[in-house]
Amino acid sequence: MADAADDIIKMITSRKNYNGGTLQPSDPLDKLGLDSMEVVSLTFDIEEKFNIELPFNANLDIKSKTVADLIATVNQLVAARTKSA
Amino acid sequence: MNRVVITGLGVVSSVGQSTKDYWDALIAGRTGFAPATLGTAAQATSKLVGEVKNFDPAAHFESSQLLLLDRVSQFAVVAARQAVAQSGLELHDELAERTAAIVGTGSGGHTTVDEGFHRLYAEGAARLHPLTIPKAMISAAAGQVSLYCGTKGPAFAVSSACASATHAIGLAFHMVRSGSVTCAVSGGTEASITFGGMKGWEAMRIMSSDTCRPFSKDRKGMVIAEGAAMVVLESLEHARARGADILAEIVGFGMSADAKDLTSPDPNGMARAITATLNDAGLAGEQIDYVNAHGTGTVANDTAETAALHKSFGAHARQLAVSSTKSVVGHALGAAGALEFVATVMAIRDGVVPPTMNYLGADADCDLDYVPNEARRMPVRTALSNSFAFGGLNAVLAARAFAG
Repeated sequence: MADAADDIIKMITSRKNYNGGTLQPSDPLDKLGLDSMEVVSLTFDIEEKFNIELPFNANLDIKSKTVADLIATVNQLVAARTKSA
Repeated sequence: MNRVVITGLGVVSSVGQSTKDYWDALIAGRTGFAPATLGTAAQATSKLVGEVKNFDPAAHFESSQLLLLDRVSQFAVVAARQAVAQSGLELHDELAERTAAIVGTGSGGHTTVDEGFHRLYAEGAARLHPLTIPKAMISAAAGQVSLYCGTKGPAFAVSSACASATHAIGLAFHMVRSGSVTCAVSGGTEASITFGGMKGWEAMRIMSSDTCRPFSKDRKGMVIAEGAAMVVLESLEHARARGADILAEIVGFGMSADAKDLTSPDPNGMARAITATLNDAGLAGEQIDYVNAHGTGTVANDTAETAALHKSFGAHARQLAVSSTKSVVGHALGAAGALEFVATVMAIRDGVVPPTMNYLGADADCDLDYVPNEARRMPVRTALSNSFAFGGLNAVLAARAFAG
């Protein structure tokens, strides 16, 4: 199964306000140059692309989660969906 | 310029359908949050909401009247009738023409829109009910309040999302103060806990999964609510002449726009609205005892609002009692400012500050006295009520104890 990492990294780095440079999986979501509504829009784009529902609360997760956390969650949810389908 | 006093209050809320029941719940910190039970919203979300439970439209209206009343207008009229009844105003012809009805709402007849469009899009219905537009229009509640209370002066809706009711009451205050009207029935109403409304809020990912804990560490966001609150404002001269019971005096109203971001609040914009209110009232910051905060329970609002209070009040910020009654009643959006202004007036009257409930401890960015978890008996001579809306639209009211 394809890993979601490449797609997600592309979705982040193509955002207008992305602060540039090489994206590290350990980067926290609040250090990407995106404001909170852009991160929320990103989660919407990911849900639409992968046909999943991300349990994401902007009050908690933008500060505490990294890009790697996001990718891991998406991979798990895609795997769970594929299995149940 | 007229001095302007408050002579009537009315409330329909998630924790009580009268001013007394609402105020008792705020003081006791009895929250009313639960999963949605009504209409399409019940299938839409597992999120907690502050629904107006056991609201019986038939107890307030004839069935022929209900055909014309979306839930948002029902709430508005019930609250307005309470406020007018308490004021003792009799809106005869001449006074009726000098009385305004100004009603704030964020989204108007949301239930009518949601159910009507569901019929069209999902069920393939061929037509909508003929009263869809007059029930759904954002000014419907203002029209219905004027109709049921018999006000014949200026009447219109004010919409600025979560600041709608505060803008409405502020405009009404300025109209009475200037003498363009003698009395006003004003406030806000909201009833948008529908499938479409809740999905929209969920998509913003700022709704709490447990409860609303404004300014607290580990806060998870807001809890959407519904309801209405209305006040009767009148010139002091008029209230005195008829021997009315004066509840408090409304003394200031200030507005500002952030002009910065559609959703992220700006402490500078908030602070400008607070300062504008103090200036409008001719008050020094040191005269304020209590601030009923916007306090939504989101990380962004509560941090920005705390910074704005520091900015506007300087050292006095630490002397203020600041509380968010949204911790009990939820965020009733376009009605919130009116519900909170009623709480502010009651705090002045009773000398009790309602608590910020569900508070777990200090957050690094929120370092004021939030009156955590327990009501506080203290003299409240002068107080502010803050409302800060999406769009960066800010509005603040000031009221003080009536001292003759």
